Amino acid sequence: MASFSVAVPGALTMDRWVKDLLERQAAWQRSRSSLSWEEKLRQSLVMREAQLSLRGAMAKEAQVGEPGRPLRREPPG
Amino acid sequence: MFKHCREGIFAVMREVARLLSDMLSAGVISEYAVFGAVAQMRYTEAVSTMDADILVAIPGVPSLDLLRPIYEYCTSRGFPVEGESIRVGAWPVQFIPAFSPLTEEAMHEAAVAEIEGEMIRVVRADHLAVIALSVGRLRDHVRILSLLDAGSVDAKKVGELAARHGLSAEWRRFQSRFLER
Repeated sequence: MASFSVAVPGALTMDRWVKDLLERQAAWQRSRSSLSWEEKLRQSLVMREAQLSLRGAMAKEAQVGEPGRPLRREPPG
Repeated sequence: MFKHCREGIFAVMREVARLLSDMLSAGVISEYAVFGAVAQMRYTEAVSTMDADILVAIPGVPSLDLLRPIYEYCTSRGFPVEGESIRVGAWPVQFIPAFSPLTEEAMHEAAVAEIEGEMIRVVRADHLAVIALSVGRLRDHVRILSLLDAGSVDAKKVGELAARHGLSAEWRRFQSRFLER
């Protein structure tokens, strides 16, 4: 069976570019670990508040009446 | 929002550290160490958590209502009980009696950290990893991976600590599932 390959111009460059990007991203993630414990606890509290307000918003969105009735939505504003 | 969070978390952690220190002085608990996600964040990047978990040793004869003295003490100090937790500021704090030789060791050998001038005991990273291994849920496995990824624990040392606590089979399973390619 015949086999063939197709050379894509710039593929090697792109591969290296993506690798560099991922390495920089990994270094950034590692640097976040070396922040002070206080700073990370503060970040965690920000995440927690965002999560709780998102849950609240979703609970409002999901308010349903009797089966078969459409989702009730708050009027805008 | 950020300023509020900064002041909020420091106030809460200071309050938690003081409360724990006072509980030690009053003999309500004989030892404690912060564990769970709050402890994890000392060694990895920030993660979201809904509460703070504290491992405690309670003096006296074990009873079914083990946490009652803690709840009574906290209520008398003005911290309300909410379900299984005590609310300190915005943060529910959950007290968990050391439930195995592993958690007892983790508590005895905890590191001492400082938050805003208050000293607080925190479970070491290797103990956190092995406690997570012993619990074994997916989120616990994520915790072990985070600790390994941050370079806070060494896989060999985790394996040795796991073996010392009879968790060699669990560690091998974890390795073959997540670490071997």
